[in-house]
Amino acid sequence: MRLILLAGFLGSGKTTILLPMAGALIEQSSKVVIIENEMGEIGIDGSYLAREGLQVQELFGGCICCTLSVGLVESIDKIEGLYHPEVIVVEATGIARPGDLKKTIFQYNKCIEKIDTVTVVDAQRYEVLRHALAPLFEAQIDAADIVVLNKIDTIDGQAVRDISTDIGLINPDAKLHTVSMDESSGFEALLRDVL
Amino acid sequence: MTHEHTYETASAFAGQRHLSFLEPMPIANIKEAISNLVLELTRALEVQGCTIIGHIKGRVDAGSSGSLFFNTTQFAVAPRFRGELQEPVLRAELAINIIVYGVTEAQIDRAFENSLRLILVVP
Repeated sequence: MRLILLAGFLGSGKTTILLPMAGALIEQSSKVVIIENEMGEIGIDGSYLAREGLQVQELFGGCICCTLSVGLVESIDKIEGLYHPEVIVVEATGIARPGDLKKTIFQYNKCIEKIDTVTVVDAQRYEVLRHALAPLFEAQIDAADIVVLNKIDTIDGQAVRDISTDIGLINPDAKLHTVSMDESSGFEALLRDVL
Repeated sequence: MTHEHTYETASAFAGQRHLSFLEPMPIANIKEAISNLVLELTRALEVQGCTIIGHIKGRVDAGSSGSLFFNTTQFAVAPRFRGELQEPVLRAELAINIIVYGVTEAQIDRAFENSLRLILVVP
């Protein structure tokens, strides 16, 4: 079974990307289940995705890369047993370290054969977050197979190039996509890579 | 698993409130009230030393009349909405999740309660 791990800091646009991405996977006839993790005690995004018709398992009140890691492992096993999906998409909290998540899943969930990590980065707040939360920010980019620089409509072309260079220095192996979900630009190319 | 988590400096708060209106509330008014609530909340948090809004996201659930979702990551910027409500809305459940840096959970709690009182006239 394939697992897509959607990571990236709070407010970067993970849920906004997840909705059409899951839709495209379903259109490809893939059986898809979403695991939605939220730090807060109340699930907000999970109910939004469920209302859009997606199969969603919520884990809230903690982060799946540490306090809820057991819950994640159990959820994947449970989903595998109940639904036999072809793809599980895990939307991590904005403070999760995807590298830790990958290790945990590969160690305990033998049904997962492949993990693709997609890290979403907020172009609008890049400079602020890059400096204020450097260790977490870099860890999220460093663990990615694909980095999505989202909200590029909020900055100019030179800033997009500067940020792209910086991301390349943190993770030279990741494929970078620059997108604006608000303006529907760049998403199709991202989708081709993810699918 | 143990590791040093940078979110140790972040504070998380979740709140829920029942909203009831004396007469059916137009959707535009509900959106305006939520916008004002979030603007007041971010203002109060910033005054108290909040440095970064991880996110403020919430839901107004009006049952069969639908749900309105809102979120922001910025100070002094009205939230973005998605989802849909249909009139008439006489009552709804407000749920909110807040993750911010630079203030304590107790400070968020107070800021949320004060903002609710100011904007939504909660008894």
